[in-house]
Amino acid sequence: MNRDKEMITYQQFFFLIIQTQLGVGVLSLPYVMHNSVHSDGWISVLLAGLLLQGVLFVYFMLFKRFKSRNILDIAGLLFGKKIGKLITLFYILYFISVGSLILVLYARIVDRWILPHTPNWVICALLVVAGIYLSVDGLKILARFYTLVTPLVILVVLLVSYTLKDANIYYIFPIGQAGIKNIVIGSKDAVLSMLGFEIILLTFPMVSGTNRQKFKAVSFANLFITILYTYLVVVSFIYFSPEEIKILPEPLLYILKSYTFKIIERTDLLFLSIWIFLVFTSFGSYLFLAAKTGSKLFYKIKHRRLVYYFAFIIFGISFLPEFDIQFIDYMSSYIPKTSFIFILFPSFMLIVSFLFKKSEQGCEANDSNS
Amino acid sequence: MKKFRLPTSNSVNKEVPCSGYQIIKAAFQHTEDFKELEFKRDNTTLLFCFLETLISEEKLKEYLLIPLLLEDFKGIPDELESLNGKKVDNPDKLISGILNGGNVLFLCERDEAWLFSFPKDLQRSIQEPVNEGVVRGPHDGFVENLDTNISQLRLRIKSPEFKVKYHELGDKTKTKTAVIYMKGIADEKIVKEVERRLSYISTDMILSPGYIEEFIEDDPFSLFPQLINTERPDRAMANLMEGRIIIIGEGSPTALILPVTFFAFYQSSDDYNSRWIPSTFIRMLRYVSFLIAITLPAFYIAIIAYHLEVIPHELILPLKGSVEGIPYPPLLEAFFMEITIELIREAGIRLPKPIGQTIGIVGGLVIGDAVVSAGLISNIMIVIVALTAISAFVVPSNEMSTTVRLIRFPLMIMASILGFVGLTFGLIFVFIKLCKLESFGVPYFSPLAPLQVRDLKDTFLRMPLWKMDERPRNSLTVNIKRQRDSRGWKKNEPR
Repeated sequence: MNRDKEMITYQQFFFLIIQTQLGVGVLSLPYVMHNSVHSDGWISVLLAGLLLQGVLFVYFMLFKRFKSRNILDIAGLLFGKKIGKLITLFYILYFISVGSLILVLYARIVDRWILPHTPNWVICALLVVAGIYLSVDGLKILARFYTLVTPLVILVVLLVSYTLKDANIYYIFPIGQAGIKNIVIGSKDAVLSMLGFEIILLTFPMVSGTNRQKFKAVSFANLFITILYTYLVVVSFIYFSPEEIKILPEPLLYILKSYTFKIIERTDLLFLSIWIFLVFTSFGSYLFLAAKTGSKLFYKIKHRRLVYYFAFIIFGISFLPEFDIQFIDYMSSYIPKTSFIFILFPSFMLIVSFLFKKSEQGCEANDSNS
Repeated sequence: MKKFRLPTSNSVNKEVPCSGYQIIKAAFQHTEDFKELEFKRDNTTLLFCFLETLISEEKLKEYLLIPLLLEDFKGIPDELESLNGKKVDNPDKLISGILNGGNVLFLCERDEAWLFSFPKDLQRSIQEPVNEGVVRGPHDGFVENLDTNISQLRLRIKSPEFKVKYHELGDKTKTKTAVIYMKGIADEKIVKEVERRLSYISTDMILSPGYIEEFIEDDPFSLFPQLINTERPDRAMANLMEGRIIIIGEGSPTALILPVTFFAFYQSSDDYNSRWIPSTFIRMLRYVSFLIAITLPAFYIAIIAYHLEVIPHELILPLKGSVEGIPYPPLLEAFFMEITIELIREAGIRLPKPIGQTIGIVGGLVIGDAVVSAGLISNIMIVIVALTAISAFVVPSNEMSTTVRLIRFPLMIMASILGFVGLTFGLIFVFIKLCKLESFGVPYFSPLAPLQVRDLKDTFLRMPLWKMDERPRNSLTVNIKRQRDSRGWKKNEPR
């Protein structure tokens, strides 16, 4: 494929990352944080952003050692072809499972809030078809579309901010009551809500610009998401009392539901429509990532084809909750947990490359046909 | 001037020993507007062949026959050359010369053929284009004659960098088509690409630029038009100066502009003829009209069918009241009304003006009043459909207006199936399509996707002209600088 055709700018990289990160998790983030850290959840979110910056720095170091290669190529160089392929396979499975998790959670929310009588598979099929349409034509289209829909985030912030007039700041005091240990542990949940930055692992070499510019884009994306999430968590915490928030799994929606404007009565429906855009962008990214990873393993099959296949698999998985409703809970507890392996694996690779003094030049000699 | 009457009888000696003549005679065998005239002068047989329907008789008489037959004669090559004749040996060239309004003169004894050109002037006068009127600004428009059109552009751009390249398209019609661009501003690569695509056209006729458009556009299956059609020389000129390329064909007053973006369809010459604040307001209004035109009926259907709780409670009773007695689902209602409006519009185009007005009144009355009192359609649906119809016609480009009217049907269907979710996904599809589309290498939805902040100056806003020092990047111009400091007088005040 034409290399130039696939390249995106580092500005677009920023939008690509934040749109992948913003997704299903936003709605229930305050609830999750409150469950684990109570009213200090927002500190955990900040801390998570900080931790993430460390992870991103590790990624950056890795990409600095191996220029213009993505994580799978690097794995192939470090561990040999066979293990490299195995790792690729695991990443495919990971991306597919995250994709199906997004799909299932999205269907559940839409089912609960907007269309209770519509069969779930119709709602899922729409997202899958739209996802296929978005991701068949490569990263450039993704980047363009994500840039286009980013202003919607501002709308979300404005909608949520309106509720500040009825907020009670004392709900989050005293700060630090949960104890430092709980706050640190809670940041684990916050990191999970920020998943999506893994897109860096595969797309870093597809971005034009110097390493410095790219890392800047990545860091700004992280900063943006951290601040946005902290803000959303704080707003929900000071709007609902700690007792209320325990029983509200989607606090942001309940906030908006309780508000009426003169022109629009149910703000939450408007908000959900915007939220569908955000979920869709995350889903599109994971579908694209799965297909992109897949093309490393099944290099004879075209990207377009792989998108169709993986979308079909994801769509198939979305039927599982129909048989057993518990399945959603399994998925939403196990998939994020395993994701730690996948986001921390690159740091292991970095250590290996340091220990065995492997970098791009060294590997070229051993593995000339890669 | 001496009187000279053109002989009407065909008095040609059939056995003229002239080599090219037989070929030409054979080529125009069965057409009766082919004329031959034979004269003798100084022992030379002069044989004129031409198509009388293509040639201007006045000119032929005045500039060829009278000097050759009645006045003093300088000797053959000099005299003919001074009359702008060209000696041609190739019979094919003679035929195409005749077809382009030429007159062939055979000198039988010398076995030579000379070609003269006296094309008939067949064109209407320059008028303002009816479908692209402006409030202020030039009121001339392109006509059906290619040369006139190019000279209109040349009169506006007096620069040697103004380049014209001719192509003959259509195997039978041989339609002369001009590709016009500004050298040093337009990207030569796009010119090459346009010519490459034009070279593949092998149809036998080119009816209009619509033909060319369909042959060269990037995505023929897309709803969105990818080339601008315009009949305004000032619009063509402005686009040339921004580095775009114009294609004009003989026989049609429409010029094609490329490469263009979505937003170019929402710009009008009027924007630049009035001051920048009102222009900005009007431009914003057009984009709002786009959103209204594609989403309003779908939005209404979604609310009525699914989310009645979204509207303020004061409105619920009136709304419910007007919908209550209607037997049809809102989608059917909306389709009925939209199609009625399309029918009235289509009927109005082809009818003579007085009858068109009648249709308008009848349609208006039927739609506005009778349909509601008959209990077929709800009151509010009328309001929605009327607003939508008006919004769709705000677009300055007829092609985009059609597109906008078409997009809303799938959106309406989606909204009627899944409410807001359906509408959201409908919009997602539309916007992905807009992101995917490219016109001659330019992303169709730029400067929004991909974001090009500096180009936004002339997209949603119409910034002051003295702020727009650069040409828009989305024309892929090679010369970005447009002006330096046109309001520099402010800094250097005279003492």
